[in-house]
Amino acid sequence: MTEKTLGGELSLTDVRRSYGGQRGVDSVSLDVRSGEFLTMLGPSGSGKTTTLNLIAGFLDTDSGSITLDGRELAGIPAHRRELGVVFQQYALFPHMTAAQNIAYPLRVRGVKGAEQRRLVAEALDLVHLAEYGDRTPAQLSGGQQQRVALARAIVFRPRLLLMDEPLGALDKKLREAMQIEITRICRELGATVIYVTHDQEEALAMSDRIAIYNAGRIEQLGTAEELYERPASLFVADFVGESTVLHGTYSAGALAFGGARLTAAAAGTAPADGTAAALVLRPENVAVYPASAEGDVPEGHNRVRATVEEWIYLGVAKKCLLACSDGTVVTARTATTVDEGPLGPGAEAVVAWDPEKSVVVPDHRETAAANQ
Amino acid sequence: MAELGEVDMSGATNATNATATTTGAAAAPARRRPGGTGWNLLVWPALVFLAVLFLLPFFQTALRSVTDPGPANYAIFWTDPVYARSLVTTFLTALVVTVSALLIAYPYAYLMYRSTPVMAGVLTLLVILPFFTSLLVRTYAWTVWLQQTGVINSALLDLGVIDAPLPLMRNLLGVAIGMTHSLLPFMVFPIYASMRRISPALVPAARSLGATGAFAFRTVFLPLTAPGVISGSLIVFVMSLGYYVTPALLGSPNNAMLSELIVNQVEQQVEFGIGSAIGIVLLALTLVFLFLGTRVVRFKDIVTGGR
Ligand SMILES: Nc1ncnc2c1ncn2[C@@H]1O[C@H](COP(=O)(O)OP(=O)(O)O)[C@@H](O)[C@H]1O
Ligand SMILES: [Mg+2]
Repeated sequence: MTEKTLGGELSLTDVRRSYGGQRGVDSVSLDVRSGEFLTMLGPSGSGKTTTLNLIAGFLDTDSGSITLDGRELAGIPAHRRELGVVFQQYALFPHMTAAQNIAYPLRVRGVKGAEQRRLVAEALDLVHLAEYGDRTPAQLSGGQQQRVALARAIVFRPRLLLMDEPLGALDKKLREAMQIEITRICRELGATVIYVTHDQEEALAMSDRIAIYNAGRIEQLGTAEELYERPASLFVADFVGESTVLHGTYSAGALAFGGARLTAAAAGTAPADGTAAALVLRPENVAVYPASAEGDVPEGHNRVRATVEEWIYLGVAKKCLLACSDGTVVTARTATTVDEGPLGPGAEAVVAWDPEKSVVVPDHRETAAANQ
Repeated sequence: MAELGEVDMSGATNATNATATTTGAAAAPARRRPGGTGWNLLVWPALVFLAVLFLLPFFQTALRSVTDPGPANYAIFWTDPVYARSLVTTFLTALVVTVSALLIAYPYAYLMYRSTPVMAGVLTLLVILPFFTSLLVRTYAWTVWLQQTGVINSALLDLGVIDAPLPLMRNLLGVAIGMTHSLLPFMVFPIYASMRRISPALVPAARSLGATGAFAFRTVFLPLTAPGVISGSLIVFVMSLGYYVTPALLGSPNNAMLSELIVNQVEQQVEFGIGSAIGIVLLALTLVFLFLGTRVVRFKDIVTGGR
């Protein structure tokens, strides 16, 4: 029993599911590697839970295929899929103790007596609840309940672990402690994990890769770094991390913004010539110069004129908000040691950045608005 | 007036009340009650009502059972076998009604639970529909169906399924059918309420852990509806013990329930003392079962179907 691993490989190909005409998920494809911690991140209603339910077998797909270790899952009922599921509301059985809850999947599989007790004790140990086996869920805190739920989901060594916003009901501090705890346990077990959250910090902190969900589709799939530094769309740029977005028209490899021509690396497919596009800029990559010191801007860097609006002290850094002539607000993050002197509110300034540190994406929002 | 009440009550509020309010506010702000202040005054008319119309007659009856002419009224239970037998009949009838109501109500409540909201509403209406007609009318309606020349017997005779009419009433069967029908809502609603309280994630959780639908139902769903089952059963059982109209119309006079014997003593024999004694025995029996029931579930849960 114990030598079985949780490192299954999952693959979704063009999976679709609607709810009586209403979109649930719309063509989701995804390959999850053995031992990988993959997070589905997206706003509420974007299809994350639906995807999880399709994998778990609580819902049937309309079309497409889901395979686990190369085996097609369609037609295999939920109870024979060998997947561990952790629910947002824990879903512990309230009439059983923590130990009985954890023993449940073993009971189902005919594991009895000393062997059952050993595995339950091992699982309780793993989640640091060795002393709490005899408590009922009502006698446990939210965090403890979630750890019991996790122990119950892994005790039978499923091939895969599915978690749907497991920390959603906990307060921030506990949530952060549990993020570390869950990551540790999953690493220790070499488990393949599909984790759902709408909290981007949680996703960045825990995941090997992140799938950004939007309106029933995966908008982009990549590591936290890739998503942050090379967002493929405005939606992703907006959803992951803080960003400044400059809207303009793309032509001949540069974005026309105000009077400036801005160059940038294009993520994924470059916008077509003459179409609306947007340049995405991370605050920490933006430098601010007094207008009089424009000569200091390194050769080849993009530059835009702006007026300083205000400075915000953040503790670890300072944030400078500037307004371009068209009203676009640019955010720059600088060290707290930077001298604000010549750059007080109202000062004329130049913001500049390395083109390699910014990304141009098609501006669907503009086209959508124009189409109306 | 309201303000006066508030001042009054806050002065009288005891410590437990105060702590309950604070912990309640901290743990579950959604479950606050409109109690604790002037609202408490509203309970007084009900208490006066109960005292005058229930407690007073009760003491009168209790007194009468031992004074009119004396405690020997109770001797009827061992001098006349009819009364001892009636005790058994009453208990048996209540048991049969409870079990059959449970067997019908559980699947029915489950159907309601699994239905869409609209369908659940329709099913709810179907259960409470009988309440819109009088018990007497409902019971007479059953005689139309069940009697020797009734709908069921005529149909079966015409179809040649049977040669002689089946004894569908004037016996325990008729009583059980009529009483189960009218007591069904008291079984359905506590069970339905307990089902509604089960988190919808629990059965899928059990399935994901490897349980078949049947195993998940037996080990998770069923045990969690136990409070509703116990509450419903207790209510139906206790109400059955005192039923009169249905047994009188659909039952056999040779196998009367205690309630029928009381009516007989009071109306035919004009023996108020003996009638009172039987009444007190019936009440005692009811209280014993209520007490036994509260050993299993809290009294509050019997009334509300659990939490
Ligand atoms: N049982 C259902 N019936 C109808 N529509 C549903 C149902 N479950 C989800 N949906 C719809 O499917 C879409 C995706 O929902 P869901 O997968 O729950 O999103 P998420 O988990 O990302 O918040 C939403 O628009 C939602 O309204
Ligand atoms: Mg969801």
